[in-house]
Amino acid sequence: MHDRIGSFLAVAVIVCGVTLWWIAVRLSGSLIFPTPWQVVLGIVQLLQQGVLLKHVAASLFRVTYGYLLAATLAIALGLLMGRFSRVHVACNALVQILRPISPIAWIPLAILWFGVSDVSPIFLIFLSSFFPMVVGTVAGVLTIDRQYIWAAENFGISGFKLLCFVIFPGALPQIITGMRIGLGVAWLVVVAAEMIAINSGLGYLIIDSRNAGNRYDLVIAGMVIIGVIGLLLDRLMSGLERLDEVQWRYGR
Amino acid sequence: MDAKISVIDIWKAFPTPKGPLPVLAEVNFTVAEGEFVALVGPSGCGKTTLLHILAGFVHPDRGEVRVDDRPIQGPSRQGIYVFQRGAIFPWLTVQQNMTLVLSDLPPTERQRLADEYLELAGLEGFGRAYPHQLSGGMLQRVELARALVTRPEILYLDEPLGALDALTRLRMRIELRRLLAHERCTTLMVTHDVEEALDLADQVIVFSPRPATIQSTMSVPFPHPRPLMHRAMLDLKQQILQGLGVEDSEAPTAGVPLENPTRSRVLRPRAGRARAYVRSAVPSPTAAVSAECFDVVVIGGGPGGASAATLLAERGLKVVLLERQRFPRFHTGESLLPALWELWDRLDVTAEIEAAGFVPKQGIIFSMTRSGEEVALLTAEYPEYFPRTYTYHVERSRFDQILLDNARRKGTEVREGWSVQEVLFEAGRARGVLASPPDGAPRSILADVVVDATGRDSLIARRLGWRRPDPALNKIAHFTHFTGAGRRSPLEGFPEQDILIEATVTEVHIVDDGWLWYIPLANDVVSVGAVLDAKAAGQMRGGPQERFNHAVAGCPKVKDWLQGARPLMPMQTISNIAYINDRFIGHGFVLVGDAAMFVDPIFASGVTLAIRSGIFAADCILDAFERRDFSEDSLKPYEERFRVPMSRIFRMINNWYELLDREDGRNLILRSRHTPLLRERLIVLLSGGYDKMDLESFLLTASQG
Repeated sequence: MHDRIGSFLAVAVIVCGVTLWWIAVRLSGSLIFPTPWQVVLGIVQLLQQGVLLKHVAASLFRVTYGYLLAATLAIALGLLMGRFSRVHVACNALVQILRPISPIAWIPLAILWFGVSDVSPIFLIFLSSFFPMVVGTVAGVLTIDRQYIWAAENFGISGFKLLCFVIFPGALPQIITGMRIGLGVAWLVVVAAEMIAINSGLGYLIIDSRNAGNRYDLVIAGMVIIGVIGLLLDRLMSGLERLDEVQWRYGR
Repeated sequence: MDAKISVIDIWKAFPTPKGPLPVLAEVNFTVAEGEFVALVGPSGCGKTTLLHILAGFVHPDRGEVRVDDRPIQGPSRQGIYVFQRGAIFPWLTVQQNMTLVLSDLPPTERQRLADEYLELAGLEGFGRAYPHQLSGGMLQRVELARALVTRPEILYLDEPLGALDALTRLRMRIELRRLLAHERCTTLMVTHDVEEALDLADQVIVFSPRPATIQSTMSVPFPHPRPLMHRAMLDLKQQILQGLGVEDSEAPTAGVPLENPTRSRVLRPRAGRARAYVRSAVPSPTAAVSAECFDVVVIGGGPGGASAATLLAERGLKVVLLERQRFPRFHTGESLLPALWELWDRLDVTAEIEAAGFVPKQGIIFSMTRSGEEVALLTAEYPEYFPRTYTYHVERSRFDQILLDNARRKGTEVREGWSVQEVLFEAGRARGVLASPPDGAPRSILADVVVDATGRDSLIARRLGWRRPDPALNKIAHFTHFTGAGRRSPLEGFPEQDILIEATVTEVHIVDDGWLWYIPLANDVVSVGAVLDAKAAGQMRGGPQERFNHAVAGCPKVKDWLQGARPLMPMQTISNIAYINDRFIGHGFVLVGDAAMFVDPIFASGVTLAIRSGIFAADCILDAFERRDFSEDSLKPYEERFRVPMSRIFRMINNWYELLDREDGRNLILRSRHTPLLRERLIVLLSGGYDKMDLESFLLTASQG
């Protein structure tokens, strides 16, 4: 009952926003700024030309590569840092220095190193999502209740088995939180990265529409698509929080 | 006897900002193979740290622990630790938890052992559950099963039952004993529950407060299951409590459970006594003076307890009744019901009550303050239901005394001024009570059946967590007695027929947020009470007196009557009025009267229900004695005859209540003026005729109207 009212309100707020936008465009008499309807037509046009799917696929492809690479390395490093205080001391300073640097700042270096190719945006995405996931994993390992570790030692569980059956699952809830944040940032950055170069992706679509004839309807169409896909990705990640293995943390 | 474990001169301190905090000082002891040792001490004394050191999780600052004469090198599978808060991996299923610790075995063997031990722990079928889906007691059993499945030589138990509620705790204690009997490992258990230690351990080591040193060591030379209420056991318990500095040696009250939160202040040991060395020898056989034995012990001498005792003693059972106060004593609930005549006949007390000079009551009058409408419901309108159409308003001090004297006359041994510390349970069965005579040391009184008639104290039900307050009937009552107050003139407001000129009525005046009772007693005394919605009362300023005054101020008639009246005692309060227990019986015990349930006072049913339940309970107990079977099954008829129907009524009162105190067309009382059938049933209900009609259908139809 409450949920139904909630979703009704959410839709109502969106409808209000769109209506205000429409009225504002009408009242101002702007010739360049599109109305919502023109944006819808823009999306339809992109679909008909077959370019929309191409751009979406290109962006998702870059995010997938960069993000999965970052997740693999970040979780591995995070587990090591959380488990071994030596590794933690050794790596933590560097991680903390690199973490606050915006991925955008790396764009010149990326172009210098990798040129105008798919590698540059993948590298930027890797950088952006790597750190939240390292931090989440380290925190996850460090906050595992001491008695679980002791119990494992008591039963002679050690080494790789300890990592697989105790450390990793014990830290999993926080790892998932880190992964969710990481994916959000990755999607944020892919668009920025694509604005610089190359010839595909949703970021490219936005910049290209502006440069090639002030098609602001397509600019906003690109923005809407980015928002919707971002929402879907987040929903996908939150599905991980419903796994049986983490219900002990989330389920209560 | 070779030592399995030797603890040699252990010292341990923890660093704090203010310098090292010593936790353990010079701890030495040994444990023989297969022995069960309990480590007992005040909270935070360092017992758990000691157990961590024994298991190898923590290194001592000085000293060493040797197992099989080899120094321990950290945790190992030789000794498994069971953590206080549980360390079952919550991300694995129960089955996975079991197989993970067996991963050195081939998979089929792993599976077989896991199944075997889950079954042993009574958890078959729960293998695929995740820990968070299990109850506390079940989790504790998983924990034990996981520890035992690895076949450890030693088991370290850290407050293994500490997180459980009282009843589960008791059950788990039996379970633990069973599991350990199966495995026979050497066991060390940390606990703060002395009774638990005495029930399980071969040896009890008592620690001083921090830094923990060993204060005394005692053997418990009794076979299992242990006779916990045995004199010698109680002596041991008391010695341990003394060793903890908890009890005064002059006035020992063995049997006070240490974990009892209301007594937590006694946990603080006295400085002067902390180092006293109490060496307990094995208690000599002559010390084991046998406890007093009865057939039935009744706790509480109110109408419920007295009625049960009367009928039991009359049939030749040896009955002792322990009453905390000395009669006569004040009690509220002055308005009786005509249904009592039949019950009094059963108790053979009718003549005395008639002769006592109580004020007759012929019914109840509802007065709607706002509209000024009044409805009198008199039992005499339907005379066919009850032997007499009136009853009494009684001073309970007097009335209760008559019933108790009657019980005494029928052969009950009545002891006034005796307070019961606790009910003694053995293996889930009530075996008697631990009670103190006036100014004396507590002693155990054993009986086949314990009748809990402790009134609103609900001794047993509270301990077992059976009491269920009805949140929808969350009321609070403030009341007192007045002298010099006015009262309704005998004819005012009554229909002309069927009037006893001498008689009074119980008055119910509906006011905002509740109602007032106004009960005229003999000798110019009236009992006046305000029953208020607890939430509304909580928002009012001031204390009980102010709330009472406020309620009275809302009712011109009562206010007028109380003009110039003098209260005879300070304002009394009862909160959380209505409740009903989940069950009224258990193995070897029954609950009667208010100890079992309390319906809203608007029904004036307290005394009637107490006597009814006392009589029903006595019937059931007499049958149980015929069979010599005091199990739950044997006592069940009482439950079925009394709790089951009453709990249905209780449930419905919810719907019903609001139909009494509203002032519109749906008000039951106002409707009864024009609806004869409704009126008839209302009068029978308000006269206590709970078994004289189909109440359930009445309540249902009434609430629909």
